[in-house]
Amino acid sequence: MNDVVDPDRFRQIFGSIEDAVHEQIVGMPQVVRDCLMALVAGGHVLLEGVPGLGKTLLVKSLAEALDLEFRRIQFTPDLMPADITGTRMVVEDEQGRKRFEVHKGPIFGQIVLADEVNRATPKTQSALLEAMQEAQVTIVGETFGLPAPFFVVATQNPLEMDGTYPLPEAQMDRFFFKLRVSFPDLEEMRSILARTTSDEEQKIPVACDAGELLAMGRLARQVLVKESVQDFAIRVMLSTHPDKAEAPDLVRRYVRYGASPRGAQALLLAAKVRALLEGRENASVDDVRAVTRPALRHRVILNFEGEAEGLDPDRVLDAVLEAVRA
Amino acid sequence: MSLRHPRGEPHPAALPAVTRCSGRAVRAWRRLRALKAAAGMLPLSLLAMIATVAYLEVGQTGLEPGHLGLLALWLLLPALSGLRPLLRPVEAAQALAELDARSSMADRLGTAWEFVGDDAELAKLQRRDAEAHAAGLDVEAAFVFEPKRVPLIALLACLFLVCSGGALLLDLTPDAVPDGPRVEDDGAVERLLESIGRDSVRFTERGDKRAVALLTDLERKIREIEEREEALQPEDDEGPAGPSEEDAAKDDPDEPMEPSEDRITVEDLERLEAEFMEQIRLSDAQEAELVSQLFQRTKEATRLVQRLEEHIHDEHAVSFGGAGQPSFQPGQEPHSPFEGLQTGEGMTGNASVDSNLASIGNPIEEDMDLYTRDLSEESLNEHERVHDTQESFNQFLREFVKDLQQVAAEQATGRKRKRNRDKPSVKVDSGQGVADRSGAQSERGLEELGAQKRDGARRPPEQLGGAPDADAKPAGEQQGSGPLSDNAMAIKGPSDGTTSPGASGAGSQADTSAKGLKTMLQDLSELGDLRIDQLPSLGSGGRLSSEERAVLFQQVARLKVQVGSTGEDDDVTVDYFDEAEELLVSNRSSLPPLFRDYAHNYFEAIRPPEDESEER
Repeated sequence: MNDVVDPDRFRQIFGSIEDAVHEQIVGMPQVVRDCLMALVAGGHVLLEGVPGLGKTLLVKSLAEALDLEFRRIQFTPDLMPADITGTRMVVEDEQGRKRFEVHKGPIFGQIVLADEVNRATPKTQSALLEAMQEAQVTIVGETFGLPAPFFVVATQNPLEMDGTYPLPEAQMDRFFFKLRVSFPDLEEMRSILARTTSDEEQKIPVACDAGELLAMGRLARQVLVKESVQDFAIRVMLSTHPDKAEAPDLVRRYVRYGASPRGAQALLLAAKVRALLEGRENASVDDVRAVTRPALRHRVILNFEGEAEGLDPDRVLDAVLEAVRA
Repeated sequence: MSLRHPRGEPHPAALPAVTRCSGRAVRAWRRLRALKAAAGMLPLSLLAMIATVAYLEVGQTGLEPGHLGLLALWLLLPALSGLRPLLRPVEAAQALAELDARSSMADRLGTAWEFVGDDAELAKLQRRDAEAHAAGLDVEAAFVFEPKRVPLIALLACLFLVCSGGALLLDLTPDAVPDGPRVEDDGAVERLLESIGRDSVRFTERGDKRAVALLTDLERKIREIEEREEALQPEDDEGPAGPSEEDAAKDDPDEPMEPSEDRITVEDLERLEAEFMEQIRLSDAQEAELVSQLFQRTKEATRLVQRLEEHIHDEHAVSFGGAGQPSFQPGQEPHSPFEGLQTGEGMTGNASVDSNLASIGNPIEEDMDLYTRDLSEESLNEHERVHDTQESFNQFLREFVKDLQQVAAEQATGRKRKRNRDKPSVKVDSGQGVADRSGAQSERGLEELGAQKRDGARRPPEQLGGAPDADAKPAGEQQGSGPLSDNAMAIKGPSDGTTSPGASGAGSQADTSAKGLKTMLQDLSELGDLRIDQLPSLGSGGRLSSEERAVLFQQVARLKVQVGSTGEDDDVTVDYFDEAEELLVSNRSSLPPLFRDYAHNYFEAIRPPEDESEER
């Protein structure tokens, strides 16, 4: 397939993927779109929601629609890093000679589902760091590149916190978006039940291949962003830091640490993708505003008082967007 | 303004629509910013104007139309505030960014303007997209000024103040001069008093006493007001240190409050002045008429007083024969109407006496007519009060007549005859009466009365003015009758009755005396039912004239003295005098002056002399 797409093709492919996913997934249109945006931008997604909402199904559907290799890793406390990345195994050939052979872990997929990622130990969780950031894995000193596109979707349950290991800040910063899966409404539940309780097997059409997906990513990075919009994204990121002058009072009071520069990158990349989806070749302030929540909510670390108050990071980000003027 | 790329590159011709929009956006945005700045400064300007007005109002001169220019200067503050953003240059990129934000263009125009030199495919696409959107863009609609409520209200208030000031300045209002604090003029009162003094002197020279009295009253009231203001001045200086007297009076319900009507205010003074000016504004003809009337009334009053004095003098001379000798001789024409009675001419219907009576009675009647006319103009309450006074006087008169009747009844008893035997030289049995010691003049008066009696007896009864006495006897039969009979005849005569109370040398017959007294008492009884204001006018129709009534009272008084000054009667007379004096004093304002003189003279006449009382 042609690896050069124009904005119109971009929007067409994007729409095709969404339609394909929604063949299997009922509802969650914004979650699906944000997942695709992160995929196009080359980022990773952390899905947060109670069990049974179709997170795993969403990722599987997405892989089927994109015709990408799907891997699923169920994170448990006894899960070891090698279980994710792989290890060297002693194997015996036909002549009877033994040698080490690398057995790649489940991380070597194009779409990797790290289910209940917070149940694994931090050591195991950190096994994803290099793969998510560098798109490569080092196994016993030998580095292996991950196939492109490489898209990690991790899930976590916000209710069951016993026996879990909250993701460290460094790990959280690796995710492009943090999406919240809301509970389906009545109509969505009817559709879900109708599809999942019958013997009818749903077939998800392939919307595009990996080449087109990568081409879409490249096109998104070419979207024009004028200086004022870029400055706006930077000021939004800086305003999440309580020690900055432009930080609002809510940030000063309840935020322990703000978004990293990786957060500004996520803001701008997501804004570009959104601009293409909106039919423009330039990103605007409104695009930045629209992607601020999913791009920064997991990058704002609340302090003890904020946690004790049960403060939602989205409120902090709303205050930031209200304080920062274009 | 040159439309150049912010990076310094020349403006390409690829963005004509965006370039056109940028130029219009620059102008519209500068205008909008100027309006916003001016509107934002309007409330401050309004506050400054209000503060200026308050400062000028509490100042010495107060707010005047001349201060309008100073107030209008504050309107320059918004204008100056709007001038700065209007003149400040605006970059095209800024204007396009503002236009993007106001027109929901999602930074299309700004991005195209910024990346106008980018040859990337996506940049070309973006410029095409921006041009397409800029072609149908209404730039002016994006920069419409929408004032907020506060600046709008402030603008309206400023316009109201300016219009009001302009109206005052151009004298477009009925009262162009605003009501500022009243400037106290300390010399105004003195000037007013001086003016009043000059007017008073002028009216005094003209002889207009009424105007002078009004001016004097006005001057007195002005001085009273001045004194009150001076008395109140220290309380004003003390300020709100404590509750005022009025407040204290309000707090104490038992303490009667001073009626507010007693306080003379500036409005009262102005009203009095207006009334006075209305009263003294007379034309020359009116002033001449007033002076003429005053002069005429003065002459009449003078003539009346003179006649009254003559009458009193003659009466005194005839009654007591003192220093004043009788002013007539037998066969001589009487000099006064009363002398006719003494000579008996009055009883014969002497024309001269009648004319004299008429000449005396007319001015009095005229005067009482004026008084009656004045009374009719009084209110109903005043009539009621006069009526009560009349009733009181009538009651007093009835009691007096009753007392006289009692005296007459006593006189008719044998006690009188007994005393006559004891003292034959005394014609009137007055016991220790005055007539015994009145000397030759009294005896001569009695003789004259006897002659009058004889003359009166020859006259027909209807000419005597009173009811015909059925018991009247011929003159011969009545000759030698007592003084009571003579007095009675004198009273019944139509003349003034200034005949001497002393009896002539006629004998004192009790029955005759009783008859005369009875007739006199009947007349008195009739008089008791009259109104006070009718007493002086009785002179026709069988009734007595005022002069006759005066004589009658005095005759009765002398009779009372002669027949009643025997002990207890003196006390009664004194009591009557005291009571009458008290009534006269208490009813001074309601009684006619002439009547007061009559009553006073009557009781003075009946008062026994002190030396005689001591002798008794």
